[in-house]
Amino acid sequence: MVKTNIVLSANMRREVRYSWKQFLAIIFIAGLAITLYVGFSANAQVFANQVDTLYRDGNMADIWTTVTEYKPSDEASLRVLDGVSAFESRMVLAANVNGKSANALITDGNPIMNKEASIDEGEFGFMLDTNFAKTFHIAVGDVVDTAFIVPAISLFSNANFSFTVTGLMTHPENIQNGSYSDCYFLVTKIVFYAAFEVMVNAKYSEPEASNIIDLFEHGITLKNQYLIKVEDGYPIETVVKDILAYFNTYASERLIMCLDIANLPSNSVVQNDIFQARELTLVFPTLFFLVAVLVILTTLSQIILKERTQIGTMKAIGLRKREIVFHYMSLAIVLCLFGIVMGFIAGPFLIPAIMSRKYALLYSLPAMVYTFPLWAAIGCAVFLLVLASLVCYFVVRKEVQLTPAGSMRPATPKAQKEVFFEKMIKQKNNNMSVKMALRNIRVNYAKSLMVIVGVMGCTSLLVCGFGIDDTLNHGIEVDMTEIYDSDMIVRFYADSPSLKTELEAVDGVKTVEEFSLFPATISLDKTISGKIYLMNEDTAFYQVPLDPMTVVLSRKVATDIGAKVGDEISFTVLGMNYVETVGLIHDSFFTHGIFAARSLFPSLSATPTHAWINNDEGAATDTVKASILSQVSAVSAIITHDEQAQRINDMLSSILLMTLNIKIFAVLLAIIVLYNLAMLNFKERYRDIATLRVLGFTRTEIAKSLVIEIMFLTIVGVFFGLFLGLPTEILVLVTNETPLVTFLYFIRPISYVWSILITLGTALAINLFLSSLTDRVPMVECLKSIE
Amino acid sequence: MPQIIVTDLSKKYGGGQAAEIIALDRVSFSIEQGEFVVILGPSGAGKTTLLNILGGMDYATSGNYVINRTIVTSLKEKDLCSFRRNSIGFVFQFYNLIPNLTALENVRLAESVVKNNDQSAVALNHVGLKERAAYFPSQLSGGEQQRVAIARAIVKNPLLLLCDEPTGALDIKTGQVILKLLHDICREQKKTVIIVTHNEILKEIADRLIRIADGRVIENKVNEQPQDVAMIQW
Repeated sequence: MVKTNIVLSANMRREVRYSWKQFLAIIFIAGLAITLYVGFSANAQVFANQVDTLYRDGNMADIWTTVTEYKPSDEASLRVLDGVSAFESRMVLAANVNGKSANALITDGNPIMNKEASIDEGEFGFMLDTNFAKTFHIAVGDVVDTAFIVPAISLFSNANFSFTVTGLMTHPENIQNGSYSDCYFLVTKIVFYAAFEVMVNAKYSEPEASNIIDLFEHGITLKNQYLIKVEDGYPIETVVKDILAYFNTYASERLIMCLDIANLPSNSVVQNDIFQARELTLVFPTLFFLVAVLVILTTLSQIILKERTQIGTMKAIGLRKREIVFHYMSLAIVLCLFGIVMGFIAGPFLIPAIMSRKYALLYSLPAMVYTFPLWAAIGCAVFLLVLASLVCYFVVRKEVQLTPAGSMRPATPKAQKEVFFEKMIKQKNNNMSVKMALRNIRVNYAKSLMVIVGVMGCTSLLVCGFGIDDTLNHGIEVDMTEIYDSDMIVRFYADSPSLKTELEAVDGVKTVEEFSLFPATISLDKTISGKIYLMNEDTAFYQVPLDPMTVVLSRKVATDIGAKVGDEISFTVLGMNYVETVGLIHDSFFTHGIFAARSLFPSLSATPTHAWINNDEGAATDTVKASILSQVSAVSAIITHDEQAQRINDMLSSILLMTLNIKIFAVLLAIIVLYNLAMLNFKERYRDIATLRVLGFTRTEIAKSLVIEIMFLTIVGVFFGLFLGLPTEILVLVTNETPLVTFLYFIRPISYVWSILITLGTALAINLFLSSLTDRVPMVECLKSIE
Repeated sequence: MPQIIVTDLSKKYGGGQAAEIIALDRVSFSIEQGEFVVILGPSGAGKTTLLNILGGMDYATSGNYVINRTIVTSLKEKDLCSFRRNSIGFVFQFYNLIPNLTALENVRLAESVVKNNDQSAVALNHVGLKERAAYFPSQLSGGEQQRVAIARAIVKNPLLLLCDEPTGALDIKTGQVILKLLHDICREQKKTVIIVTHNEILKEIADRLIRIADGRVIENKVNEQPQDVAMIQW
């Protein structure tokens, strides 16, 4: 027995095959939506896998505990804490390699934890990070000059060691390419001692040299950091708490810091990017799925309109409603399946490949491994198919509700009457093209609405894209002028005395202002980890006014703990508890915490930890920085204004990359929506255009009405889109908000102007292209029967 | 008893704010099984509206339409669809073939809605298009397309064959072939065939002539001596 669906499937197959052009928009938009979703999902997985692989190959620790002095009793106690599965100790020293900041890892032998993930060239001994070596043109076999900065051991301070580079490696702690001052190189103890002996022998004569070597090699343990791996499933925080409790009870003076992997700066930045990569899967595809609905809706509406008689005939033959609905649903599904296949192929290849170029600039990662996000792919494919089927059902339902005779009659145009807007325009312009355009807009109001919605989406995306750029720049500007308004910030070693005089003595330094920065636990409704900045009441570097009796909170901290001006908040700094009133809450982008005058916390302010420095006019920042590092031994790190700005940019790089994508996709969206609708408009009036040509209308006259109609709708869409720009930007950025930043939403007027120009330009280009097609409409078309 | 009894059938369009149009005004007639009926009338007389209601393609505003004791005017939408599936075969003026289906597939589509087994090729053979089975409508002449449409209508073995201006888009010679085919189906298979047309010549071949004007039946007569299709000319 012949099955209706089988016969109809042959019809559908041929319809797709012979009329594929009219379905291009559906296939393309479905393909784009799936490419984006599957691609971004694959990208997030690939990126996370790369980081996991690096950490796994490098056997990354879970907890870093840095101390001022190594004690075997500390190690013995920490080793037996609950949940500790592996333990290793090592020495970490701030250093310079050929004058470039880096950190030295001195290990007993080949490290077990935080070891090299791969040896890219050479062998153990003195191994440099591959990217560091490439950036500064250092090769295996080269001799490098290295200085170690250890204030407690005078021998080391600025003593030059020469090492022959034995190998290049990829190290999990060097995951960030951008900040080389945090880059680590590995030196085995034997190689280090050998270099030490050469250095001492060059500086001292015998027997003094031998005594120093003997004293150093047997009297000093080269260890200041404990690496701990926690048992699978055991809470890392619990082990951190136990470590802190141990040091608080027995040796608080020895503990510098205890960090778990979540708070490790290099890891938190990369995890932030992984988080953003995952969020990207939600933002764009959602927009494109909505556009897909719009495109399917408009295209199918037109097809259904065109196939009214065919639907009527099917009903007259006796096909049931569900069979007809199923036929068109199958058509929509088949078209979407083309897009889905396209997306499944293109997405996992294209998007990770594009995004990896950006990640490669920021991170040292192992090679990308192709990943197909199966469940995400199945999920979004099913979602799109259900969406398309539903849209199709709603479009066809109206048509199949009609009687067969009703379907076979041409749709009766509604009785027309002029609306106020039409009258108003017509009074000023009695042009026939304008009249036709206005009437078409009103008669096909559903289609007109779709153009408006599509253009609205495009404009709002453009405003959103430009707005994100503006917001990031505005945020950086706010923080850099209010908090980092200095040429550089200098970090001191722990327990360092005031370095103001020493710093002021360095050539090129104009002003120095010390401040203290401590980790703090801040509480009100909620308890959070944060920081406290203590500075002079009349500080020239922090632009928010300080009151000697109250504290200032950054907006993010205030929001997180639920504080407002006048509230009393409590916080713990270096084991001491404080309660203070909030005097002011200020907006900041990436600098969050409590800001207060030093006079309010005299005990804490006795220990400055940082200093703001401004250079003399004309002094080069890099030169001043190098001078400080070589002359002031208690300085552990320096970050310049430009480096700080670059760091923030690096941190926000994936968002910045996203803004470019948003703008490109907005234009693509405009092209798809406007091309689809303009093309449908054109085809719908194919016969009218032929008749107008027969009547002697010129191409310009005929095209004018088409252009006026779409441009008028585009302008309306642009107008509403401008209002939607900010909410869209907020929606996009909210999904990207991390503990690191608070977005200060801001859109410059020029961004609106660009958005308007791009949307109108795209619409005009498409219309002019389609208008040029009017010449190709054969005049004989008007003589053919409507059938 | 007549196969079809139509009593006081009316159809109105519009109403409310729009002007009301009476397409059929209390139309009554009856038709015997196996009759070749021609419904004649000028454009706008209500012929197609009447045919649509007879075929279950449209609803009457009032009145009764009974076929083989089934009151079609009281059927719900679902039953009306079954009625069209099982009892009616349509032939349209512009053929209304599905353009992306071959001649055979167009017939198969109609066959698929009833429980006939592989009758499509037979039906196509019956209308003389066996050789054109794999052709698409665009590859067939007007007459051939109409023959496919007739094959599509008869493959369901319907009670009633309804033809809306079946020769309207065809030349005389082809028109005659189509009429002959319909006439033969009527005679050989004892099927009731109703043709709606404005062509006066067709009244000569009818067993029954129903003439309508302005939505009313103005003439309903039995033609005692219908002419052979080959004899008529227009």
